[in-house]
Amino acid sequence: MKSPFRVPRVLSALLCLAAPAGLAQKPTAVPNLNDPSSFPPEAYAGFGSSLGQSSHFGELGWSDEQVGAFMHGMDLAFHGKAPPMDDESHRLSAEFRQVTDSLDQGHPAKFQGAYSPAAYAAFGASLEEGGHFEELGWDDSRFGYMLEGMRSVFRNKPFEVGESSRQLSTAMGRRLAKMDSSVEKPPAEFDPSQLVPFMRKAAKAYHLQMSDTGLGYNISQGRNGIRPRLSDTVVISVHAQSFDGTPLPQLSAENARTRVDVTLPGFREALQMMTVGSQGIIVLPPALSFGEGQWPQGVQPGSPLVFQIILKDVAPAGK
Amino acid sequence: MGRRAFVRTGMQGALGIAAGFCLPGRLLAQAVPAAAAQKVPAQPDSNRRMAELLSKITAEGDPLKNPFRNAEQAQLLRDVLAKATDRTVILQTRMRLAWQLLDSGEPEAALKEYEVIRRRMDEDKVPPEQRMEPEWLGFQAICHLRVGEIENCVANHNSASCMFPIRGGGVHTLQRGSRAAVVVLLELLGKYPGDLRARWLLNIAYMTLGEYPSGVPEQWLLEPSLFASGHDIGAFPDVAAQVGLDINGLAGGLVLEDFDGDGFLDIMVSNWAVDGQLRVFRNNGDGTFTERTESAGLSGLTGGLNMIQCDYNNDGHMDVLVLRGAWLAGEGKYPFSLLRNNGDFTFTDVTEAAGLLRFHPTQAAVWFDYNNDGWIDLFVANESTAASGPQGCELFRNNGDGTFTECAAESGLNLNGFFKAVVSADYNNDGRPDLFLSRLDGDKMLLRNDGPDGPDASPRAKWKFTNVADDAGVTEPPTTFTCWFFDYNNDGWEDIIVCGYAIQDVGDIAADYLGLPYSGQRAKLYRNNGDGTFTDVSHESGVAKMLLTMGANFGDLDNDGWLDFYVGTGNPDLSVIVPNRMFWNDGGRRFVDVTTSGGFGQLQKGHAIAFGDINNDGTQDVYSVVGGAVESDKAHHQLFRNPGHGNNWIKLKLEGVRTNRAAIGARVRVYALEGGVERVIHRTVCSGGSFGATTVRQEIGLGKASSVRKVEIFWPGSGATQVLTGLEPNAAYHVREGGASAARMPLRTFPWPA
Repeated sequence: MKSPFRVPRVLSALLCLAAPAGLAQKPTAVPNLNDPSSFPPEAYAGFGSSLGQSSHFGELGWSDEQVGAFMHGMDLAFHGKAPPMDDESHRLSAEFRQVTDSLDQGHPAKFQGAYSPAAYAAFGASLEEGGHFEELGWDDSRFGYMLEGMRSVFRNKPFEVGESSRQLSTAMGRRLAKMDSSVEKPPAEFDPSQLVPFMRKAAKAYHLQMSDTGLGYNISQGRNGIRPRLSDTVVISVHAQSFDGTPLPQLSAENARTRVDVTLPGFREALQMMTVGSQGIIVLPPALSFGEGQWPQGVQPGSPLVFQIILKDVAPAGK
Repeated sequence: MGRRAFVRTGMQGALGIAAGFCLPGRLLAQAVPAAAAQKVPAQPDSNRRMAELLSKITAEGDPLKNPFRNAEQAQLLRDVLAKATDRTVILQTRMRLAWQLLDSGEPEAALKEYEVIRRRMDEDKVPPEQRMEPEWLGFQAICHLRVGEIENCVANHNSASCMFPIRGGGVHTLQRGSRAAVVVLLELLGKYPGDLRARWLLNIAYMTLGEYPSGVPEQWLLEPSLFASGHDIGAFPDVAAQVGLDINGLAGGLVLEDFDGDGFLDIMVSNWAVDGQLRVFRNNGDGTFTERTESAGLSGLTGGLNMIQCDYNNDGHMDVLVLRGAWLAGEGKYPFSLLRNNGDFTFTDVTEAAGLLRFHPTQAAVWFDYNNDGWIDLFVANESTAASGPQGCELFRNNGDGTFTECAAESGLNLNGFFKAVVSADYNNDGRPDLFLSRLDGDKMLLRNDGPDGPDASPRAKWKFTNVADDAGVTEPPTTFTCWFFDYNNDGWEDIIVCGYAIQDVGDIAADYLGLPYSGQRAKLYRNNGDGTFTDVSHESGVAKMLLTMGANFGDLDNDGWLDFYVGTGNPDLSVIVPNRMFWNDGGRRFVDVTTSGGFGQLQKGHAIAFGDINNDGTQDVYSVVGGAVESDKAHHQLFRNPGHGNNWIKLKLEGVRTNRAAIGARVRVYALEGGVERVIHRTVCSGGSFGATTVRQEIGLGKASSVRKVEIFWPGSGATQVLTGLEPNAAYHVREGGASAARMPLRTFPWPA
């Protein structure tokens, strides 16, 4: 089971940004979009630059050492040796997301954190994994060209994003679309007898701990000590998926405000584990979600649910 | 707040790192008491060369990459400030400087720096939502608490200092730090009532003022009943200062062993700082210890977060391995030191001569005779991180001539991971010692020793190890530090404890006491099912707690025949003020927290731990290395004297013949009659522990048993089981492999100082 959440899917989003919608509608016949070898090196370098520009690499102010560690992490992940994310790299990831979100919205933002090289490497690896580059059939040199394209953005000397780069973006965009469509199939029936094996497998895949209640959780360190109590109101972003990976938009939300004590039992427990800035993956057995009650439309009753959750703010009760 | 918020984890800041610098002359001056007027033997050349090598590596390292060289980093930041003109850069640099000042031991200067930052924010009209108020309130609270800790627990130390729950002599006489902390913490809680770290620290601050629990506002009170012990183990007074072991240092390792064969356990301690001198103390057998560091030839041998002992050359003297470079990633490429015990309380560094000179960051190693040839081998688990690059584990086969051959790759043991502990035992009772590895970055590994990998069955053959952790069910939790094998339920099968090492912040400790959810990683107890698998019994046994364990070891506090354990806790962050915890084994059924009743709750950082009968009265005392990672976090070591519990005991000093001489790997079964019922007590000789090294001498509690029917010893070198009869309780015996009988060893005892 490959975790969609253990590492941020930022790069997937970047890839979508990098593939202009118009081009995606008009692929050219040459080069062969399904054949990586038909693209010239500059296509990969330009493609890397387009990714770097989309994610504001040139505005982050990272040192050469930090960029080097980041690139090294991507390269390790490409070769199947991704260093794991830890609390520090999760914080780096969170700050990266905040900064790039602000820049996307035209607000000035600066990357302020100073993290260890290991954190940059793990973060780089997570982006590579999010992009699934290792599954594209690229060889070392093509991946290297792409990295060089990214690196050039850090140096504020990006490669030109030419036609071949855009075509490569299109190919990537198509591939991602195909991957997404593959998980949008109707959820399969869930066999209740498979709950224990599923939770075990999920624990392995997501590096979960299991609470006494049966909640599976992997929660990163937040940026301060502010924890929600049951009576507090929280601002959270939630991305839900079914046991077979199907996205569940009906259970997902961005910046939702809610009192903790009115959420699902598994959420009540998990939110109390978090501090502002924490991100986490939680896996809810049915008893901790809708149990014997009414299950939402399109969600397999009695099935376990997987959530990515970010605690963005806490408003104490009575304030 | 730049890179750091209120709390950091142990891993944070430890990756990417380097060392500092110190000249041997300075080390010598620190290490040797002025009163030591005895004639000092010449230091062996190899020791001097090792000291020089360590010094050279440190000097060539990049101190700017070492987050634990706080004073130097503070100076660098001051240099940056002197040149900076951009207001944003100035603000960010001041934030970093404030933290470095705190870590380097200048909390009041850090507070002044914070005031400058606050004024700057006012001048720059930084909007409230960007001022990181909770972080800075937390920062102020830590600074004030540190003022109190430094002025009281460190500078005016007594045996009750920083002992949780703080009371009596632990109450601060100089209260300005804690008073100021209370004000800030109350403000923090008033604004953010869900902040459990502030609530935890507030209760501790009131303890230091002598106003706990009555002075704590009701809504923030952590009731004393939360910390009450479930069993009264009796108070174990800290007598370190009275016996000459008033050691004030940073994190380090520990070996509790009889180095000179006089029957009394001596003590060697390391200090992980790059200029931290290795120190050894001789037990004088009269209630005092004398430092012998210089005369033992150890001057200039520095650093080392952990140590383990063995008799690598089968000469009857216990040697020591000092492990260096932990947490320092690419800058931690130090050698370890193998110190040969010459039997006269001197040690010779034989690392190079033994073929062991290599350069990898590590604190984890274990002595085990994997090929059962009677010569103890060494497995070293190194720390591979993105910053360090691959640092493969090493297997050193003992050639039997004072040298070793590295052979990890041919056995598939050149593993890469962020390994923090390795221990060995024969978990499947097939006569071959296996390995268990704990790491910060993923699944634990249980490496089953499958014997020779091919037709060649000689000791030098290629050997086969298979990772069976998944099938055995022992891969969790994801982020772990120390671990150990022990037979906690006396069923003859080795069980495993592995301790989680990740927290959200110190509020997780409060949450654990309060029964609230928390994300920190708990300890796990895996019970051996005897069929190659284990069952996770953490919850029902009471082990599934938020301990944040670094050092740990096990022994038998009350000689009831059931193994208890003690954990040293914390992480480098100065706000992570966590009590060390002691757990008493209730008849192999569960573990009961006896921290409070025994007086074991040291709040300063807990590292290496060992159990051993220091005064030979038959009861095990406990030694604890206390002290943290950052430059200013020095603390006083502790020696907890066992008050005795009226139970019986037996001591066995095993001597291997076909088995390695220290008998590491030997299994002991004591058949004792207790209340007319026979019980079997199981023990295994191991190389001390995974962080802290207990003596290899077997100190076995017998409960109320009035007689010992027989003792069986399985010797892995020969595969034979030796049966001894006629042994009496409350006596010590020397047992030689294959001998017809055990020889009684007269052990002198001494009373503890009043």
